[in-house]
Amino acid sequence: MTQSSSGARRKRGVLSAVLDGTLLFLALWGSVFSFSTAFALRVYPACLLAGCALGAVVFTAVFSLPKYRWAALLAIAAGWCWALWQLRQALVLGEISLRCSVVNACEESLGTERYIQPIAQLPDEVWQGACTVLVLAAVVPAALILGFAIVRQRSFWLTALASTPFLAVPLAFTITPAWLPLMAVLVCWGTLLLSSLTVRAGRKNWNRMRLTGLLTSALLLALLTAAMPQERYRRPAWADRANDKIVNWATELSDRHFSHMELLPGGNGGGLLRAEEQVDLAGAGPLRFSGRTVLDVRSSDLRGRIYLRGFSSAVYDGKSWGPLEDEAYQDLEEYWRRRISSSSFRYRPERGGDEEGEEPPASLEEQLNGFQPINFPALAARESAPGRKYAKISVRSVGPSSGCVYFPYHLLTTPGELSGAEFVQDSYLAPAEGVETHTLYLMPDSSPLDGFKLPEEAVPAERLYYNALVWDVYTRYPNSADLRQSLTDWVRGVIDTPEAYLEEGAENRHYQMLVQRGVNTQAEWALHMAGLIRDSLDFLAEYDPDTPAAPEGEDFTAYFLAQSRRGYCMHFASAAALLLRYTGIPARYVSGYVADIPPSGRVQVPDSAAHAWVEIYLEGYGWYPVEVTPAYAGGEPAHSGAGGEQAVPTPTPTPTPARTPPRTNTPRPTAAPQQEKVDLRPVWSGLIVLLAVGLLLLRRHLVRWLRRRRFAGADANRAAISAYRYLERLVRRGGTIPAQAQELAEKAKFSQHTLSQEERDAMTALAQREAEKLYTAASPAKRLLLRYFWALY
Amino acid sequence: MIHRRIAYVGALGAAVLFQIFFKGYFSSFLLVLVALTPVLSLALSLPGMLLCALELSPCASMVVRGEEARFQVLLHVGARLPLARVRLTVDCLNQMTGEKEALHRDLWGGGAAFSLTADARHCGRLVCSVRKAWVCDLLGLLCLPVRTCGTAALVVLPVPVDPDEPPDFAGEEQQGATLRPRPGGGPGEDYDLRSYRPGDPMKSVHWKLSTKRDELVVREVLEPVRAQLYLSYDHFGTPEDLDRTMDRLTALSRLLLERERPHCILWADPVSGELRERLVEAERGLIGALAEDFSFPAPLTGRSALEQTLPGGRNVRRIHVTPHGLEGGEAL
Repeated sequence: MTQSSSGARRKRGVLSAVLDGTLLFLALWGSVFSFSTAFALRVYPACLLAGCALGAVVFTAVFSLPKYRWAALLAIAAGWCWALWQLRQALVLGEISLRCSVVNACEESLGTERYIQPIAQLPDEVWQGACTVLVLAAVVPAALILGFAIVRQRSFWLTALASTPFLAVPLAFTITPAWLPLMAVLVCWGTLLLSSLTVRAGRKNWNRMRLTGLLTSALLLALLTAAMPQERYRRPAWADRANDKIVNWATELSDRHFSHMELLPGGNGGGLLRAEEQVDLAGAGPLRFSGRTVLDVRSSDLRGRIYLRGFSSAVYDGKSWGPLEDEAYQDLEEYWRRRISSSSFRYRPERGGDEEGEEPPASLEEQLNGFQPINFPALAARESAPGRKYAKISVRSVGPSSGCVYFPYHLLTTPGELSGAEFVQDSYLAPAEGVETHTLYLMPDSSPLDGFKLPEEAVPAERLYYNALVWDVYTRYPNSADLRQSLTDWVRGVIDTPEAYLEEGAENRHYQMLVQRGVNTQAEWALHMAGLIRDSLDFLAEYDPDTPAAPEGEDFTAYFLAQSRRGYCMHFASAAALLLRYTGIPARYVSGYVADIPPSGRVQVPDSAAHAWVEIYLEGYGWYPVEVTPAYAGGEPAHSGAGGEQAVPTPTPTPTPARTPPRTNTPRPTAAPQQEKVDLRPVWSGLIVLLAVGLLLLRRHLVRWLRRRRFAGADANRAAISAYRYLERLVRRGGTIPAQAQELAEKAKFSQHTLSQEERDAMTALAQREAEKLYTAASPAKRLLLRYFWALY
Repeated sequence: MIHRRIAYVGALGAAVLFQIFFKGYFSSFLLVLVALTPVLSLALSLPGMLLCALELSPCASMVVRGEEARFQVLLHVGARLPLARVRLTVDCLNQMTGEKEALHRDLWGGGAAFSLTADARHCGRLVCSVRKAWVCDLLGLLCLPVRTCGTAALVVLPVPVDPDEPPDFAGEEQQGATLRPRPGGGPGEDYDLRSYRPGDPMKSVHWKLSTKRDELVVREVLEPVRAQLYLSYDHFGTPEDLDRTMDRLTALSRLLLERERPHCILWADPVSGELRERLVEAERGLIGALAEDFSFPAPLTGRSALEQTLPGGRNVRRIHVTPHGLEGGEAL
C-alpha cells in the first residue's frame, strides 16, 4: 500500500515552524499567565511575556532540528542548571513570595482569611523580581514539555496534560484565572484537536488545517465571550439541584462508612448556625455553603414559604449572639420583684400559685405552670379562635445534627405532648438522643392583630413571671460607646429625619402610625417600630452575601450601622434586634432556615437556606417573628406555609423514641443510630469493569505498537521471523501461512543471507494480509476477540 | 472512531460535572464550548465530506497469473480543507473462481491515493469494488458515506507455458476436402472462372478469356476448406485445475494462431450445459475470449463440453483441453 506524502514529520517548512511556534507560545503563555493571574503572583508581566516568547522560539527551533536535537537540549539543560545555581538566592525568595501569594489567594477564596506574609522585610521590587526569576525558571521545563508535545509529538492529549495543572490548581480553589491567558490555552487546545486527524494528510494540508483551526477557535471563543457576558451570568438551577443531590449522597456515604475519617466537612456555611447555640459574628465573612441537604420536611397541610425556626439568642457581646445562662431562668420571681419596683412598670398583675416559704421552682416551665413561652402565640390563637384548624409537619434532620429541632411558626405541641424532644428554656427545641424525625403541630397564620389572647390559665404565667424576664433580659444591649452611638444615631435619624432614613420619608406608614397617629397597644407599637426599623435598614443598607468580616476589634453591629451598611441576614437581624432593644422593645436574634414547600408537600432543605431574623415580644401574645433582611422582603415568618390545606388531625403525641430523654437543659446531639449500609458492590464492580476495559484497550495499543516496531526493525531477518511468528499465532485462530511466507521465513532463519528490503516488505505484507483475511472472515464476536483479547488485529 | 466518541462523551460528562461543582462563570462557558466544538468541527469539514469521492481503477487491464494485480484508489476532495480520515473497505472478487478478498484501508487528506494489491494467484477476472467508505469529521465523531465510482476490473491471464503438441493436421488439404474461394485472392494452383463482379481487382481479370468471350472473366483462386477446429475445455473444477487448463488452452491457441489456424474456444455452461464459443483468429481475439470467459463463475463440478454436440456439421475437429493434457483432435 502506498499513500500520499506523510512527510509532515520529516520536512518542516517555514509555515510549519511558525505555526508550531505560535501554538507553543499560546500554550506556554496561557498556562503561565493563567497561574500567575489566578494567584496574583507578584511578577513583572513584561519579563514573563518575553520569557515565554523566547522559550517558544527556542524550543520550536530545537524540536524542529532534523538532527542533534539531544545535543541542543542537553546544552539548554546545562545552561538552565547553571542559571539555577547562580540565582539560587533569588529563587529562595521567589519561592517565599510565590507561596505567600498562592496561600493568600486560596485563603481568600475559601473565606478562611488566614493570610500569611513573608517574615523578611524587603522592598516590593525585590519580592517581585525574585518571584519573576522563579517563574521564569519554571518556564524552561514547561516550554520543554509543551514543545515536545506540540512540535514533536503533535499530540493534543499530551499538550492538554502538560498545561492542565496550571489551570486545574486555581480552579480547584474556585479561582478563575485572567480571561485572556485562559482563552489562549483554549485556542491552542482547539487548534490541536481540530487538526489531530489531518496530521497524515501531508504537510500543506495539515498546515492549512492548523491555520484554519487556529482562526476558527479564536473566533468561536470571541463570539462565545461576547454572547455570554460575565456580568449577566446566572448559575443554572439544575446545577444547584444536581450539586445538592450529589453532595448529599456523598455526605451520607461519608457519614455512614467513613465518619471516623471525617472525609467531608459539615455544612456550616458562613457561620450562621452552631451546635453550641453560639452565633459567631466576628468570623462572618462571605457566605459559603456546601449545598448539602440538612432537613427533609414533609407536610400535607403547609404550602409555600416556611420559616423553620431553630434557636434564638438572647445575649449580644459585640462579636456574637449567645444563649442566656441557665441560672437566669431559675428565679423568675426575682424579675417580677425587680419590675414592680421599677417606676416604668405599668401593670399590677395578680400573683398566682406563689406561697411563702416555698422553694423557687427549677425549670422555666415549672415556674410557668407547665407553659412554654414558645407555645404562647399558638395557644393564644387556639384560645381565641377555637374553630381554627392546625397543621401537621414532619421534619427529619439529615446528616450531623445541629442540636435543635426546626419547626415553622407557631408551635402548638406543648411540653406535655412532646416526645423525642425537649424545650430548652425559651430558646429552642432540642432533639432527644437518636431521634431524627419529629412530627409537630402548628397554628400557622396566627397574628396578634387578630385579637388573639392567651388562655386564662396561662395569663399569670405570662404576665407575672415571663413578662418580667423578657422585659429585663431581652431589652439589654452592651454599653459600648460605639454601639450606643450607632444605635442612637440611627433611631434618632429615623424619627427626626425620616426622609434620610426611609424611602417614603415621613409618608412611611409605620412612621405615620408611630409618630403622628399614635398606637393603642404595646403590640401595635412593637409591630410598627419593627416595620419602621426594617424599612430604614432596607433603605440605607445593601444586601451583599459576599460581605467580608468586620475588622478585628470593631463591634459587629456598630460597624454595620455606622460604616459598612453592607451585609446579609446576620447583619440585618443583629442590627434590627439591637435597634428594637434600644427602643425598649424586647427582641432576640433567631437562626433557622427558609424553604418553599412545593405542591408535593415535601422539600429537601439545603444548608444554603440558612437564615436569620428577629423575634419581638408582644404582651399577652408571645414571641412574634419579623423578617428584616431586604433580600427576603415581603417574607412573613408568622404566616409560614399558610397557603396550604388545613388538616383535622387529633393531637396525638409524636412517636416514642427508644429511650426516654434525660431531663437536662441542653441535650447534645449524638451519633446517628445504626442504619442499613449502602451496597457499594455495584460501584466497585463498575469500577473494576471500567479498569479492565481500559487495560484491554491499552494492551492492544501496546501490542500493536510493539509488533510494528518489530516488523520495522533494522534486522530484516528478525523482522521476517517476527512476521512468521505472528502468522503462526494467526494459524491458531484459523488463519493460514502462505507458501511464500514459509519460504521467506525459512530463508531468514536458516540461510546465511540477509533478506532484502523487498523480501522483508513482502513478508510483512503477507502477514498483514492474512490478518485482514482472518478478520474479515470472522464473526463479530471473534473480531472482538481478535482485536481486544488476542490483540492480533 | 469509537474511541473518540467515548472520549468526547467523557469530556462532556466532565464539563457537566465541572458546571455542577464549580459555581463560577467559566464552568458554563466551558460547557457551552464543549457542546459547540463538534458543531464547529462539522462546519469546517462538512463541505469536504459532502464533495469527496472515491475513484477506483486498475493499474493495468490485465496481468499474468502470479504477478501483482494492482488497483488504484484515488480520493477526490472538492473543498480546500483536507479531510480528516476516510475509512474504506474494498472487496476484490475473482469472478471465475469465486474467491473474495476484503481489504480495509484508511486515507487522509485530499488527493490521496493508494494502490492495493489483489490476489492474482488464479486466473480469472478480478473485480474490485468499494463496499464501504466513510469519511469522518475533524473530531472523528460523525461519519458520512463517500460517493464511489463503480467498479474496476482486471483480467488475470494464464501463465505462458510450452504448448502441448496438437494432433497432426498435415495433409488435411489433401484429404479431398472441398474447395472454396480464398478471400483476398493470392497465388494458387486451383482456381475458378467466373464473370466479373464490380469490385473485383483488375489483376484477377483473365484477359485472354475475356477477349474471347466479350465479357470480363475473373480468375478466382480456390483453397481447400479446412475442418472447423474447436478447442474445448470444462469450465469447472478447482482453481488450480482451471489454471492448468487455461495455461494449456492459451498455449495451444497461440500455437494454432502462429500456424494461421483460426479456431473456436468452446465450453459448456456448468449448470445448463449450453455451449458457448468464441472465434479466435488473432491474439486480440484470444484475450477477448479469455476475458469474457473468465467473467463466468466456474463451480467445482458441472457439465462437460464433451457431453454436447458440436455445431458445424461433420467437418469439425475438437481438441479437448484438460488440466493434464489434450484429448481428441481427430476429424469428427
